[in-house]
Amino acid sequence: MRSEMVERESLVEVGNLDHRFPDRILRQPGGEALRACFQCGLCTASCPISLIDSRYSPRRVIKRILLGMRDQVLRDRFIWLCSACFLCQERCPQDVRPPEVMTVLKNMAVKEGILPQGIARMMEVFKRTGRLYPIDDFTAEEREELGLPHLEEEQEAVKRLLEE
Amino acid sequence: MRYALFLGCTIPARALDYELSARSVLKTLGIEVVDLDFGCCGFPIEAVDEGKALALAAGNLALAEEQGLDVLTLCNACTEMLSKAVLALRDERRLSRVNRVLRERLGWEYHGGVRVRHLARVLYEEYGLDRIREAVNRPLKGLKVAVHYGCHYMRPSRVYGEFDDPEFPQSLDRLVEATGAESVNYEYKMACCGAGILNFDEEVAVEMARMKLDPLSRRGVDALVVICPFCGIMYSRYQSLILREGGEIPVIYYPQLLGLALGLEPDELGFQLNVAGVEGLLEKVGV
Amino acid sequence: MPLGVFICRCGGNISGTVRVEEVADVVRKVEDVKVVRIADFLCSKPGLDMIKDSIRRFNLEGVVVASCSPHMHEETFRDALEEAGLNRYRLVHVNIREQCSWVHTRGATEKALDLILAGIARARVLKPLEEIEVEVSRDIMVIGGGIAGITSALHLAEAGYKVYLVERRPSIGGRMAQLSKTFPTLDCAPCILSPRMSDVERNPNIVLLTNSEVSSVTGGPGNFQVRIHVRARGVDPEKCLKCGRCERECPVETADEFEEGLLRRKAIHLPFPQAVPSAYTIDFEACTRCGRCAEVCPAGAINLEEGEREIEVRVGSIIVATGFDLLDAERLRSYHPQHPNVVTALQVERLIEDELTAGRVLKKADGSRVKSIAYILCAGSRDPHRGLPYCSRICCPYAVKEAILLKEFLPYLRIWIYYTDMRMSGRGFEEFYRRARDLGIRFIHGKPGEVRPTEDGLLEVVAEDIDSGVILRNLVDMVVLCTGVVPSKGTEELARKLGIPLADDGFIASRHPKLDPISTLRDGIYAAGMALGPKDIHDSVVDGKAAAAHAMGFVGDGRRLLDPIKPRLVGECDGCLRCVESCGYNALTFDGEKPVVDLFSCVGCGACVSACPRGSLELPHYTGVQLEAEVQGLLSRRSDEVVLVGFFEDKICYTAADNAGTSRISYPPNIRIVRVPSTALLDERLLLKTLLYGADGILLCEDEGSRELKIAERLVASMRSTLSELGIEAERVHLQPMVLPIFRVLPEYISRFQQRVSRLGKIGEEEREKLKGLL
Repeated sequence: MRSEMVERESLVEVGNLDHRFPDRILRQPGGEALRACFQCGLCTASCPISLIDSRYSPRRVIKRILLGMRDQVLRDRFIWLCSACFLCQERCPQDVRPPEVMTVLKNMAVKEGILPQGIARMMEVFKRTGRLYPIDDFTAEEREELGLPHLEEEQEAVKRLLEE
Repeated sequence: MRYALFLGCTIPARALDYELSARSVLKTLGIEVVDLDFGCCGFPIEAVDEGKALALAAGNLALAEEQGLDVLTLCNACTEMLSKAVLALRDERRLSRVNRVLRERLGWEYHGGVRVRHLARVLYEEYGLDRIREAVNRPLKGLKVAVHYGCHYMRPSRVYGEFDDPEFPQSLDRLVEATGAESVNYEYKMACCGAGILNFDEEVAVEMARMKLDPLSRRGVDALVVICPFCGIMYSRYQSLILREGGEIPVIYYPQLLGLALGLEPDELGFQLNVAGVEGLLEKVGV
Repeated sequence: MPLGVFICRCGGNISGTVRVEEVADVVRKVEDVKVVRIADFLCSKPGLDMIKDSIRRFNLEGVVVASCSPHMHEETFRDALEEAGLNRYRLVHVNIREQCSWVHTRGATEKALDLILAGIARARVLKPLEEIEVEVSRDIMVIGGGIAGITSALHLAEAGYKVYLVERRPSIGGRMAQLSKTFPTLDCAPCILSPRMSDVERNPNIVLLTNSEVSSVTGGPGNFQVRIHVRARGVDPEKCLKCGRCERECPVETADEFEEGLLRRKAIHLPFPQAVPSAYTIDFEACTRCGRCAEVCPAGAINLEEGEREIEVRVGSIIVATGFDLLDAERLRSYHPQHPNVVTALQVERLIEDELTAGRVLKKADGSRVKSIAYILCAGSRDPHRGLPYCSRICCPYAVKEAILLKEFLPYLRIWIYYTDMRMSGRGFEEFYRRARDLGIRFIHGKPGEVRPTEDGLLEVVAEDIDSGVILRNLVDMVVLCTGVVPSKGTEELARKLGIPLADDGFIASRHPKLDPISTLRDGIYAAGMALGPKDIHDSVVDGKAAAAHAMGFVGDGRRLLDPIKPRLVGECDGCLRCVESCGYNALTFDGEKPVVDLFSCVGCGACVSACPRGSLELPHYTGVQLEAEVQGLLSRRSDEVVLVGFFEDKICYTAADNAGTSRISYPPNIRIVRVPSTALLDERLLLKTLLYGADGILLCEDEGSRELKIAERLVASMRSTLSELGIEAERVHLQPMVLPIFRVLPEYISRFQQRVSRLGKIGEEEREKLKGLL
């Protein structure tokens, strides 16, 4: 069996860490108890995503935030994989709230131009129509047949709120 | 009992069976609902901009507040987003920031005090199991049903004030039993449906749905009852992908089940729209 | 009246902020001041020698020491005065560190000067006082018959003291009696405990009261009157032969608490084989009084009609050793504690003792063999929201111990220990940890989220092992929840009866966590063992011996010196009894002519002094004259800014201010604090005079949990209405309740008060004239 050439992972220099990164998360709603994390791993143990792919661990993400590994964290695939089931949040002994931390990270990633395709596509429809699923003619007809109230194809108030 | 009915984005376009059955059941029970010009609750854009998501939620709350109504939701995600917003906006600073945006863009303002309640919670807490039992005239005896709460119905518990246990809930089981059907215990009853990440990684999402559907299909139940369109779509539309060895599980919404027990006709409850085959179920019920 | 003033630099802690030479120059010119000296460390031997020297050389009649808080070294300096031939109560100890140099960046020098001037004014009017010699009881009570209590009792008894050992259960032995072996030496617990237990029984100096609880405590340190409620045993220990015939006849079965619910017992039972007293006992809550046991008892030892009784004893000192309970596992719902194969560690101790030592194997509820076990550490500990915020300390060692025992008894067992941190710090513990790893016990560095019963009767445990980075899924036969420890049920109630506060973790509060861990906040009452917080047997024994040493020192040879700061009658008494009613400690009675003070119960708060409408009572060392002199001294210099005078209750509030100083939390220097036994001592006249002399605001600070707070509230209300009538803003007088754990907010309260008064501005000359008219 030939062993695959694995890309090397090099040392992390403390000088390259962003020591203010954890504080920025701390300031956002949901991130207040970040430094209380003592790495018990209960979040990962409870995470349905980690059960499917054990490369992913909310505990490790939190540790990397605390270390200041800003770039690695914001580019991590895992932060988008959190399904927000909140089991970890219910059980965490230190009230760290990993799903809320993931939301903060996602928002930060978007500001740096990182936006997964599927979500970008959804946002495009959303901004254009004010709806996740625009009520097209077919749907409108179906609604009428079923006796359900008529709904406009697009939602004006939402469009206006989303304008830049 | 009078509420503003909040449909969210998914139900009016993709889960008309839920909407239809909910309206029919609410009417039959005498719970009045009003349709306001609600928009998206904000949940889908939370990952992109939490502040904007909160503004969207607040806009909806402002609409309800203007009419002096509480909000009745059908979707778990909407319930979570709006309930979370109610809690967050108790903070003065956040409220004034959000109101600034609402005023500038829409001329609206939210002041606080709107209650948000999921349909199931309203039925359980405010309408009451006793009254439901009284209203049932076609008890669904012999029906074995698997209940799926979803994740956002009672979590995060600090948003819902722990009206039901966040890890061992029983309100939905009781609601099912009130129809005469049996709510069976099954492995992975509390597993997440995975719809939250469908957009990002379909493979993992489907794997999550499989965790529940696989053992359930082997066990054999008459229906899987859900209370959220995300969960409903996840479990019904992806069944063929998930269940490698045939065996369909009808996925229905709670009002569809309750509606049958209340004596309503299947086409008043949207059964004609269900994806996974419901003929067997309807036959068993006798309609 | 020749006075001496001694200023400490405190190695820069004071002199770094306060310009001590300047202060000394001013003070030197004050009338009566014969000598002023500055030293680096007044509390050191050279410093103390210098003070004594000066006293002798200048024939000083009063001494002012300006240094750290009197709570630190007041007794040390008082001793120095006494050694130099001056009465110890002629000392005024001024706090220019914790409440000055450590908390003010500007204005510290000016404030220090004011405080010293106040000290000089006070020193002029202090009178010599003699400590009161009283007779105290040499008997000592130990509450709790676990290993800590047993250790204390034996230590005291062997030293010749009479000990009342009060135990709630029918037998002594406590938790240690339930254990199999002890870590790290794996001594057999009952084997090393039993001899101690029979020593207790045999020792003529120990009065053993089992089935007993303290119902009330009156009196005071040196003279505690304790009422003990003794429940009926139903069996005479002198006659009981332990033949067991009664047990066989008894029709009532109930859960056996010694066996942690794993087995059942009868209503009449032997608590455990090595029980002391060695006799059967009846659980009257379960007993139906059918009488069958009494019929068959060959020794006639059973008396179902035995009643409860109350006895009263007088002791000089009390030791609280009430031990612990385990956190209720039912709270940890995601770990399925109600499942028959999910057990607590204490239950495992019983399983080891009952099953394994008898040569049997561990079985599941369905009778099949247990082949794999998962230990979950930190179950409910280090979790402020769902369980206990603290680490329970003994769980890591007890899990390792049980794993080693199980593995040595049944080598085929696969044992997993799931930990968050392995805390094995005692002597011999690291080696013990190594022993476990050598035996093949597997350690997983990660906490499981839940325990899930599977459909085929196993228990699924999933956890991340963060060392290796893998997520492990495990299926085991049995799960042991290593729950944390809490103070035993009833500790809070007992603490209230004894008048000792608990700390915010629920265990008994120590006087000082480092330097005085065994003393409670009440003189003469000590604590030992788990009652003071999580610890193992070794440390409980150490505590027990330390508490015994304390108690012996306290009661000494039966004579003690009480501090003389107790109220005395200096005027006419018309028998109105207001003083008696005002006392929150039942320390005053009326003998027909005058009030009589019980020196033991009196805590010297001074409530009676302010209650007397004729002003006939005074509290020595805090008389009206003395307080007034101090206040005048504080306000003798003019200031452009508003001046605040604080009257702070000593034990809690003054300490809180000191703590804020130790934490270096700044606040404005406008406030000058006067230390009082309690604010209940103060009267309106003194407060009005304070404003007259130059104060612009008065801040009273009182212990929130005390009875004195109510008196202070009434005083402030009355003062405010008087001020309003005079046209002076009522908000200039404020009462701030305080508790010790939140000392950090005290500086903020002071700042806010200073801001409020600043906005009102200084009291005008006109207003002060009005005050003069009133007085």
